[in-house]
Amino acid sequence: MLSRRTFATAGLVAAGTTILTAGEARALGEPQRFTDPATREPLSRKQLGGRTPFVTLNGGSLPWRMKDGVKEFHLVAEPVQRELAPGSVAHLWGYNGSSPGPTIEAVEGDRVRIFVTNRLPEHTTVHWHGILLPAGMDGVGGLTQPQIQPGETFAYEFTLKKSGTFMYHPHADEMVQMAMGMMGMFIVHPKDPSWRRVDRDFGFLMASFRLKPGTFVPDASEMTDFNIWAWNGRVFPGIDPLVVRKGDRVRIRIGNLTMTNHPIHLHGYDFRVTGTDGGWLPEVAQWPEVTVDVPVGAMRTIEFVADEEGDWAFHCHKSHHTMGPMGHGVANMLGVRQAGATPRVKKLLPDYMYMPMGEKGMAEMQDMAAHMPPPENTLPMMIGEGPFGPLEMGGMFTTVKVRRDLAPGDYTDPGWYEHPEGTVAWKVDANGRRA
Amino acid sequence: MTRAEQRRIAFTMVLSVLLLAGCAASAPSYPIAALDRPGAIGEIARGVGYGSYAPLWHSGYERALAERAAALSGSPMTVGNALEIGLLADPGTRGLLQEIGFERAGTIEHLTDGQDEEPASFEWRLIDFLMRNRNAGSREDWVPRNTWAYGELYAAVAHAVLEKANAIRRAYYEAVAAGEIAAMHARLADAARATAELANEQYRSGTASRLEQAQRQLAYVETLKASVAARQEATRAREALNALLHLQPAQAIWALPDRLPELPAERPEISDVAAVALANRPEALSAGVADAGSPLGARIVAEARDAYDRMLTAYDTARFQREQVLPVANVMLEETQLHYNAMLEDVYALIEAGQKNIEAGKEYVENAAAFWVAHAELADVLGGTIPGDHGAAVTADGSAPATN
Repeated sequence: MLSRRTFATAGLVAAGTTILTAGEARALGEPQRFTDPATREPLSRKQLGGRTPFVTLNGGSLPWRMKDGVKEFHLVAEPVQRELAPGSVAHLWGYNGSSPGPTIEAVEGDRVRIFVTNRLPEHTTVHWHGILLPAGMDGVGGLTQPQIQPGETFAYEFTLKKSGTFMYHPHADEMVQMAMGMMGMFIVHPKDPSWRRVDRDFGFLMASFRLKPGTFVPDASEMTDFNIWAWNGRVFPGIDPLVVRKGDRVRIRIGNLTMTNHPIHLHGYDFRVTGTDGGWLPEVAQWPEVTVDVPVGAMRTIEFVADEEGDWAFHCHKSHHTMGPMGHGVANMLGVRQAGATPRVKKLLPDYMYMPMGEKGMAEMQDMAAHMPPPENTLPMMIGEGPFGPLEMGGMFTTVKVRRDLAPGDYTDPGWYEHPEGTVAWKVDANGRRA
Repeated sequence: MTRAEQRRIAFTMVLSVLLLAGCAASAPSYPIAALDRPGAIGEIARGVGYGSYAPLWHSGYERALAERAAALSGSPMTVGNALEIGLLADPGTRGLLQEIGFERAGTIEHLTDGQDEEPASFEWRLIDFLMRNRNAGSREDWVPRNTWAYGELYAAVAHAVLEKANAIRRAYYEAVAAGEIAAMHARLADAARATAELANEQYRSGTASRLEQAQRQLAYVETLKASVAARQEATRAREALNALLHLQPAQAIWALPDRLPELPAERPEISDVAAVALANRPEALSAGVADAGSPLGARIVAEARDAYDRMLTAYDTARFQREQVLPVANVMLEETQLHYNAMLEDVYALIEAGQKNIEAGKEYVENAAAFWVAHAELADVLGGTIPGDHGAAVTADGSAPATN
């Protein structure tokens, strides 16, 4: 006799999405997990038919297996722990041990079957943002499929009709699940390996969290006041640099699953906006920028030729997005003389090394952070040492490192750029001469 | 009529009887004739020819008392010191001593001998002394307590002394607590002054409005007023103690300890508080009451249970504040400091956290004072002693937990 569930399953098979039995789910094996926040070695060109592999910033691409001409991937939705940067770990929800989940990389025309196992405490689904597919594969819980209950595995199967930059995320209890970090990139390479070929192909998703100082689990009910501004679940100085060889043609794909827009700015270059999650822009429609605004729930692809060496800042241009957690509504002490009141505050707090702050700006914060600890699991507002001193950054900030002398295939961090003699801004004396 | 009122009347009566007995030659009519029977204190006094030496002894007593007070004033006053001076200087006590011919310097030496090394229940030393020496002219000085006639006289004397001792203890704890609380209020006000100064500087530099500045200033003023009131209360409590100690202005230079004594380490439980009261209350002994079957017995037991419950509750409350609330208040302050380090909170929040920490400490002092007062009252209704209490209340050098 058909149970209610098997009846539903039978119906779904006809519509597209498949529910696996427990035995079938076990047969999928344990999928690869990505618990280390390092940037992984990309897939080989050979695996991608000679195409340039995609580099997931502080992440990696999900392996697949071929079965009857279909590429099979396995995502496991589950609670994860993600190091945002040394000193802070967020307890998030993600896929395969990581938030964001691993990147799914495939090729235009591929037929893919993606198994999704739910190990979350509540139901979920996966929506394939931007991908053209049958409605029953769109992953909207309640609308196009039943929710994937905890412990269940569903299969999504569709053919990739076009290449481009896409993402995946839940369409179930969306506010909580996206606020908890459930997202991943979906890169579809063009069928023609030479079409718009680049030498380096990077990408990341932007997420924001409200992680109250001293806590580990983001507040999913926060709508506007976020304090962690992350690229692929990392914040500066935890975001790896984008290392390219001088002369490389570089593509960077940026997705935004935060609650606000992000004007992403690259120093040292003018780039062209070459695509969105709606598709590739024809060359005549591409436009030059030094800052690309990435709207909420959208993706932008930019490209440039890395013809100028250096360590180039690459960041969101909203200045509070390049900061660690900071207080809001705190008293504005800029220019406020505090010397008079300081002895009284010290007397009130004899066991505390009180220092007045904010009188001359906030740059002193970075020095203070070195010997005045923040709350548990909380990053300083500003952090990072560069070759010339404190970087005073946090959040959505990293560098694009362009070098001429990289060994073939070696994109490990080359360290700080050594500027040629006479090419660094210099201090002058009262007579305008080099001091 | 309340028990306190009954006691006041009893005390007045016994004193007037005894004092009148001292001038029996000129005023032979006694309000309570029964007390002037042969063997009563007044009779003895007359018998030993007390009258002729009285003025000499009186000035010797005065001098010895002043010397004792001066000797004790070198270090912060303990509750034991306060009891000693208060009872020795008390006109009622002196009247009693005068009646039996012992208002003299030697009495002070005798009564205070060893007190510094081993603080004991001074009121019982005094009662013992008064009762044992009532027959000084005709018997040995030291008569075992169990051979006393627990008569009306004993009951009235003990009652009067215990009542006075209770009042002194209570005034002492209130004065120490008021001083400690006033010091805390001064710290609160100083901190509030810092916020007002910062708000002034903020307004001067253009980062706070006049409204914000005024709000901070008003908050400071409120804290300052509270501090003034606390200082007044400390003065009042100290002067109330001075009045009970009968100290002359020149002698009233006592330093009170900065802190109340530490709470007893163990919960001060008494297995059968009713039995203790019946076995020790002077009225019970005097009237031969051994259980709660009579109106007097029922009253003694009820008073003991009520006072015991109040003392234990006060102890639990104070201990809860010290062991549960203060650590949480400390965590709150420490965490605010960490938040300030990371500029997640501003200096006003930091100061407020410091103030809240002081408030929590202030509440502990209030709780501890309530305990010690309840402890003194329990001692009173148990006949002056609390079983298992080894003078914890006498030492004043115990330190309360840090309250920042």
